[in-house]
Amino acid sequence: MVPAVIIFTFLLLKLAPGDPAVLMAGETATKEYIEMIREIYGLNKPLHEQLIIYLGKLFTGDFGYSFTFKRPVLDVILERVPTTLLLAGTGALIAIFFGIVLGVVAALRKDTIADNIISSLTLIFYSIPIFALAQFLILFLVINYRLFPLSGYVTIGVSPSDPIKYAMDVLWHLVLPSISLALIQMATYVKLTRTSMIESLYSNYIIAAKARGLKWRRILFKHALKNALLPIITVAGIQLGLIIGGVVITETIFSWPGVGRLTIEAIEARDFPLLNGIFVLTSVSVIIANIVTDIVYTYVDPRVKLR
Amino acid sequence: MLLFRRSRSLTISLILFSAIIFFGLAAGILTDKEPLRTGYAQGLTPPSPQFPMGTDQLGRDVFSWTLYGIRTALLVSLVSTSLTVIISIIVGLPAGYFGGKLDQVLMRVTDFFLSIPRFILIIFAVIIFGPTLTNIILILSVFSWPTIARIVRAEVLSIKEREYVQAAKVLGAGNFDIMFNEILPNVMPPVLVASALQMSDAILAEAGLSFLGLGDPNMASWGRILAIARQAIYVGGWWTLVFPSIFITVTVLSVNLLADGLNDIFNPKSVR
Amino acid sequence: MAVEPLLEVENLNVEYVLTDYKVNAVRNVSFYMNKGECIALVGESGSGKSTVAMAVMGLLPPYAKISAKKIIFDGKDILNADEKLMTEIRGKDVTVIFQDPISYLNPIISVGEQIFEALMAHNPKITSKEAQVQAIDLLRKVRIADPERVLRMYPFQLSGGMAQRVFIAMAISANPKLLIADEPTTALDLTIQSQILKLLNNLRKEFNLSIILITHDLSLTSYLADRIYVMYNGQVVEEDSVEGIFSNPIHPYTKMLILSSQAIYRGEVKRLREKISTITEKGGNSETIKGCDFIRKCNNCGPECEKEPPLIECDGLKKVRCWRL
Repeated sequence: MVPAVIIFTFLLLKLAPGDPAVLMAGETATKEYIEMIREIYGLNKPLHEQLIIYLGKLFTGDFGYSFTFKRPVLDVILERVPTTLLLAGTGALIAIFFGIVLGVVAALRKDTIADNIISSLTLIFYSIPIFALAQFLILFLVINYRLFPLSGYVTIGVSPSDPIKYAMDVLWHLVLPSISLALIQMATYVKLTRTSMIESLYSNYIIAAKARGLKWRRILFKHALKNALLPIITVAGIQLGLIIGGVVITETIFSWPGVGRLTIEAIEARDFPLLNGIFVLTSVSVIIANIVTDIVYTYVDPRVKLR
Repeated sequence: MLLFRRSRSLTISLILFSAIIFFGLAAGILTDKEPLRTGYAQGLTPPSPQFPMGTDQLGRDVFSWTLYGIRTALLVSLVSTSLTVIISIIVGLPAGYFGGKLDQVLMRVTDFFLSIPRFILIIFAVIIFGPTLTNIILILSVFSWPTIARIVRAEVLSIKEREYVQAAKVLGAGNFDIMFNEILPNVMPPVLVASALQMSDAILAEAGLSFLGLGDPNMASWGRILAIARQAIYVGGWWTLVFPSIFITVTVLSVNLLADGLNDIFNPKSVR
Repeated sequence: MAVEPLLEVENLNVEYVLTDYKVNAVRNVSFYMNKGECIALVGESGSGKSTVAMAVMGLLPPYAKISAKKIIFDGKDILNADEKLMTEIRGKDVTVIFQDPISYLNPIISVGEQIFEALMAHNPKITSKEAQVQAIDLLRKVRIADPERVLRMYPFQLSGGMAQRVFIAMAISANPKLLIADEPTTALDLTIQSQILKLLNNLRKEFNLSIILITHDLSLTSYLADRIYVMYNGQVVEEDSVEGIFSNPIHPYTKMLILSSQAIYRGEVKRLREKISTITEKGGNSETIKGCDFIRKCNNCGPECEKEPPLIECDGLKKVRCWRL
């Protein structure tokens, strides 16, 4: 899968109109520099040779050189990864936690008003685009009520030398963007948990557990919920891939210095080497995330491992 | 009202969707202003009888933009989804029916598309090929068909073994006959549900692209006005955010409800 | 009666109320059982036999409306009991085993863990060492060889027969007074069936366990049961001792049941088919039938059958729901 992705990027890059050397060197590069690029990447050679050179470079960690930042692509990207992880991770955790809680509540109170309200709200949040939602949050909480900061992840002047103040500041900045991401994803988890929980609750083994005289609380958590969570693990893995668009947009709106916003900057500057690198690294991360999800799943569901 | 009892979602969806379509088609009658034309007013103006939804910083009429935006959204999503479904059927039907190499290739391809960050790739492709309406539609189709094709294939696999298919075989029906007359009609219900979801995805994707400045500059897209809203809301221009947001949310909502409703009809026994 | 019965159910009615329609699953059913007895509820699917048992246990879904004159178990009124009391009784005094035992076990938790859980539910102070010992002991009681290995297994790895034994082990873990066996052997192979029945019989003798056997197969009852209640369409149509049912069946439905089980064993399937084909089969909710439920299938009815017959007492223990005795 990973080689396929890399080759695909390579081919896509080749499809770009214009002289690839110019694309990679940047429009403001000198003629000599462009020639140098042509040499290094062997752009005059046949396609399969170029591919081999390209793959070789990737293996050594050479993702090319970003002419906008004047630094190696890999460095530029890796620098931004922690902030993106912080944002995406927090958003995902909030979404999963509250998604499960609301889903369980909706399942237990099936067909009551609470259930209907939760389901309706879920549907609305599922339909609203994230760039609209984020801006509504900004409108109310930043502009009208000045409760949260608008951009960046740290206020100017606050530095890591005072770790607690620094952490609090970052958290304060983290609130709105992560909530935006979370609200969009939450809907999926609420719906899924609700359905899964209802199915679980009406299963035979729940009736049998009741018949054995187990306390309802125990049945709920140890039996019903545990089984209901299985599909959620799978979905969480898939969501990791789907939320990338949301991350890009959120980081842009809140000027959050992560890989998402980097992508936009790269797009605006037509910095193809950087874009290429982002693309490959993101794909690889998604693949790794899926593998991890699979491993977690086999750990929880013995039927997969032992069959 | 019978429909309402059968499926609440479907009824609401159809009502909302018809309203949206009506507004979209009637855009020319409801407003005399061109959606992307600047200078109707001197910069940002709040809603008024002349501009029911106000204007943006360059004097563009938000009302007109919002209404014509319906056309963009529906055009892109309907066409790209239709293309997606057609490709999916063409690939998924034989893959599921005949199995073998074609099937394996299909599975690999869909795995691939599931692993890549779709949105970034779409952005990438739009940059490379240029942000025009046709390109956007084609790119969206290309990146959506694997998911639907997978559903088609899965359905084909389960339907293949059913009695009426075996019966048709025994009666001497040829493979293509069977595929199109027996299997395809029964594949459609879940495919239709998935397509509805795909359509709402497409609306959001197109809006997202426009928001990032990668939409067709000649089309009035909601994404683009919402990008403009970023600046506008600081100086009090809430109307640039609120009205297009309502319209896009309602449109996507109605399509999602359509998917729910179709699911209600096709799977009456599923968990509600 | 000299001794108070262990379980007394009088005039039990169960109605399933859904948004579109209602179904009267159990109508006016009364039965009793004494300590150490085994009674059988026999009938086809839809006769309400399982519903009766589940109603007594309080395990019916929320859309089931239960009403009865009385349901008394071991001197306690469980018709009006709150959930706290019911939770205490379940598993400890009354237990249930089900059809298709594998689906009634939690698929992602090991057998051992589920047995420990059952043990701890009624004996909270038990240590894990004691639980281990007791679990192994229980599994030996249900004739499972190599209990240590089975404890580590997961439900999907068990065969049907093994799973049912595990289930029975869990059911008797708290020394219950009453065991309800709902179609315990229907999903199992024939050879395993007799093993399970033998096991139940042994347990019954060993622990003076009272059993309610629910089945559609009349032939199973002759081995285990003392008395039989034949159910049709939510009502009891004949009740008697085992001997009474087999030697002197009176209600047409009882006769049909006996015929079908005997015919299969005697290889007289052809004769059975002929017999059954003379009976018109019609489905339909009991609400639409006026008078005796069995009118449509009975070849012995007369004008009085337009009125619904009550249970009429005959000699000995026998009661029959029919006018034409």
